[in-house]
Amino acid sequence: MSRIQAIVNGRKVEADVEPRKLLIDFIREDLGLTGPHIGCDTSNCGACTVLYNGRAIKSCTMFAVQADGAEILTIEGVSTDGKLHPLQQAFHENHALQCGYCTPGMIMSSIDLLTRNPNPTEEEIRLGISGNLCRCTGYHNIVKAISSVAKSHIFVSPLKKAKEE
Amino acid sequence: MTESVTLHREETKNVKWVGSRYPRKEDLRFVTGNGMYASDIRIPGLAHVAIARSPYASAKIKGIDKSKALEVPGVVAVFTGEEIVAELDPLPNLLPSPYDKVKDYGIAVDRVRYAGEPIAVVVAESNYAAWDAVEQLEVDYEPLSPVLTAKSGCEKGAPLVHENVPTNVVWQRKFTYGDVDEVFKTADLVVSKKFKWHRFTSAPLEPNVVVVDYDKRHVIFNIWSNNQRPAFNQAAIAKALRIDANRLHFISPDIGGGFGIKNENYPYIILLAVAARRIGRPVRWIETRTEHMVASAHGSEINYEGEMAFSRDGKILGLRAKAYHDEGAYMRREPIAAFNFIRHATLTYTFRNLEMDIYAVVTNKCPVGPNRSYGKMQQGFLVERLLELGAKKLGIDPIEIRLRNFVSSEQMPYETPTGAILDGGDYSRALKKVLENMDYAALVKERDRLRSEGKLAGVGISMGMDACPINFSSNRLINPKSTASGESEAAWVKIDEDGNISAAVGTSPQGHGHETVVSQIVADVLGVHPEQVYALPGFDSWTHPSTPHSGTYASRFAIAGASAVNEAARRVRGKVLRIAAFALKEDVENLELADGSVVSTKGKGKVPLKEVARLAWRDLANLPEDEEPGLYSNVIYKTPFKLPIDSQRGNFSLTYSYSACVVLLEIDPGTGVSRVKRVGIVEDAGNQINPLIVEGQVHGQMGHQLGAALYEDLVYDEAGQLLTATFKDYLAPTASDLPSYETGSIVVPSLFTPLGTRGTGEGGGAPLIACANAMDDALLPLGVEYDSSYLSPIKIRELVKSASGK
Ligand code: FES
Ligand code: FES
Repeated sequence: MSRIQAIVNGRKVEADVEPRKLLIDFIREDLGLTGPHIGCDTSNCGACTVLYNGRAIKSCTMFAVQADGAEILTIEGVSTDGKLHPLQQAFHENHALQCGYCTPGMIMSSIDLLTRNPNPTEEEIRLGISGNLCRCTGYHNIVKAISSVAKSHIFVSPLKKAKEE
Repeated sequence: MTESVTLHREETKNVKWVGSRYPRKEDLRFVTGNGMYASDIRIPGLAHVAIARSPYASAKIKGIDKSKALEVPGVVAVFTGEEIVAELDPLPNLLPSPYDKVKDYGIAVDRVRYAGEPIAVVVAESNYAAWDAVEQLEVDYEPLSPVLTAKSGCEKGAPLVHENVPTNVVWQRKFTYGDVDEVFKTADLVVSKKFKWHRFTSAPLEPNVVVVDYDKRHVIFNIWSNNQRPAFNQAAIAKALRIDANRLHFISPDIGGGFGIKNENYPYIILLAVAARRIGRPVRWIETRTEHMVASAHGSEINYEGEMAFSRDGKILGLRAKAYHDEGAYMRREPIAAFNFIRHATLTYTFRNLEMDIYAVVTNKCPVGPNRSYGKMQQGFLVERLLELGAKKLGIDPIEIRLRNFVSSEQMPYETPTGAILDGGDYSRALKKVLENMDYAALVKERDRLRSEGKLAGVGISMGMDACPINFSSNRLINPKSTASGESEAAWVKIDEDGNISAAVGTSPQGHGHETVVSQIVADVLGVHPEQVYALPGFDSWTHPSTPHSGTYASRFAIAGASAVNEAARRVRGKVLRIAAFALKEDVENLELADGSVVSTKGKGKVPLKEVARLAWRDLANLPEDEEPGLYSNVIYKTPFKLPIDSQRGNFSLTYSYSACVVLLEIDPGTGVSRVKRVGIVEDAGNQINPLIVEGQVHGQMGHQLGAALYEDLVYDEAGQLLTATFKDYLAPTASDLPSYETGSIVVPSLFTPLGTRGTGEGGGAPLIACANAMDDALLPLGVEYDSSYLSPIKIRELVKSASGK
């Protein structure tokens, strides 16, 4: 067992974890944050995507021990003051989700994308979320949702907000 | 772009919400990470299950030594197939004797029949420990030579997949309609072609999950799973477990996509039920992606030998085909995909002569099961590909030949040779509209430009048909001993004593937005806002109503689910009006229900719904004498179906939604990689309860179908190992592989449903088939006639090389 300390969604957590435990299992099973999902065993689907020190990572591809000292944001920490984040709102308005299983990961990747590139072209959006699979929507409305947020310049990084608070 | 939505329902003046693009109510929990999926359930004392699987496609199990596995720290129990099966009866199947004897328990006993077949159930304190123990299991196998194609399975002397039945051809029937031999003899043109329909899978993003807690005190199995039709499957599960079905309590919470595959996780429910009962603790199994790919339910794999007869002017005279279905190792729902041709055998066309000779063959591969557009896209592919070849030979434009053969809107309702009754529609309008939306002439020009740049490019069009739901009397054509007929769905609507409105349906959605559409339907009938209707999420057999047909499959919600809830709401409305009439001393005919109140149109006042609810539940002495208290209605809707006409004809679906699709495809001759440059579709789902959701379903079909046409392929090697068992090798398309979709619709209401709706979720395969036609067009310059539903970039490269020598 190894002791780790991390900031998850703005809160400090401390835990003993088996060295081989995957970060996604730590988040889902130990912390009870079931927003991030598991859709594959080869790091292809992105359902498990969270922000790790500000960048989108696939949490099935890291060990929990690697979270020691890191700052992690999951989908549960994205909306603030009881208000949906503009991306969450846009996914809803554009019907960018059906079963919702890919949605948490998609939104985390979109945050990463718009943080790095606030004015992406359609092609850049498609490339930016190409680490995330969706089997329901055919991506059309996901692309539309992300592009609507970019076009109306309402994107704010949830990380910035978390820091300011 | 939707034309003319006309609702032909009784209370048209109150229709506000049905037909509107109402954003989904269920979204809030999903976008905030608060969805509740089966793997999110937490139960105290939960133990974790991992399943040990066969590495061989075919082998004898000579022994399993579990001693080392039991020594792994954290292991609770290890059950071999033999130990599990001791408590089970085999799963039922649809096959006529003697093939009904094919034994299937969902776990192997002394023989494994496909690579990935479960052989033991391991229970441990953690998922990690369970997998450690799986690795320590020692199994002594004697490998046998596997059967890996339908054709080789048919051969004399082929090894038997199931040794207790006479052959691997477990179901065979020839269906003949009209005078097929005669038209083929006298036709001006006959085209013949062998086609391969490749194996692929809808692969929902959430793998299968089952949690079972055995409640000894009440003798109840509590079952949380992502099964998409637990009420449908409960009889089979109960029979296998040798218990009464009312001892099974099913909960399907939010489901992460199903597409048919999640009908088929019930064998795992049975295995976990046995384990839970044996250890006296709740158990959870979460399938890995690799397990899902090797052992859930693949889509069908078919070798077609097809022929189509034409007159000189391009009229289709007849279709004749042999279809060899590679069914995999067990027949759970099959041969339904093989048989499903019958629902839309002639697609959107008028030809009357047809012969389908069908062979369902078991092989040593993953079992075939329902996958989106189950048996629908396959028949469409056969018809449309042969039609395309005929058009080419006759020198008739592909659009023109379709227009000459369409069933016209004046002929509706139209009975096809197999007895299907097409419920209205305008096929030529749909085709013309998609061509107009896409500017077909410009598309062809763009293709030619790409060709002039040295690219391979093709344009393809196709029709597709989504026949739904299932009249289960069709089972009688598969097995004359079957006694099933019709189908049904249940719903209840309730207004409680404070005027709160709730509704529930038995459909267990998997992302279809039933909470939203149920709210829209009920809101219109009761004159309230959809936000005032609470539609119960998911499915719980103790709170939701159901029938043995309940679930979401075969695109049935807009027919069965919507009709059931609409009728339940109407009955509650009727009672509200009667009670209000009594209170206002007014005639029911002079009352209207709108904006949360019952109002007299003759100025005799109004009563709020809330007050009617109070009267109905609390003030019983003020109710009309013969009125039962309460505002609650539980409806079982019977989809209007009949028995088969004869042993090979009948109307086995109620609505036949359809679409027309056009695709511009580009292939890089240097890499062999294909891309869809543009794709447009126009579909007719009849009246749309929520066009936003219908459009989403069309997008979803696109994603699945274009993925299957260009990227997704389940490939087995010669030892029967699946080579594409992960998302690294099985190329589910990403956003950057796919284009945006140019969708449109026309609305010709169904003649046969109360709301004028048609079922539409699965789609009829038009995008996939259009891609195949475009591929054929693209390969034309290489002198190649396309003969499959998928071609890998490597194979395309080979064609390019052999055609050009580079
Ligand atoms: S679960 Fe992490 S990428 Fe699929
Ligand atoms: S919404 Fe179901 S996988 Fe994306």
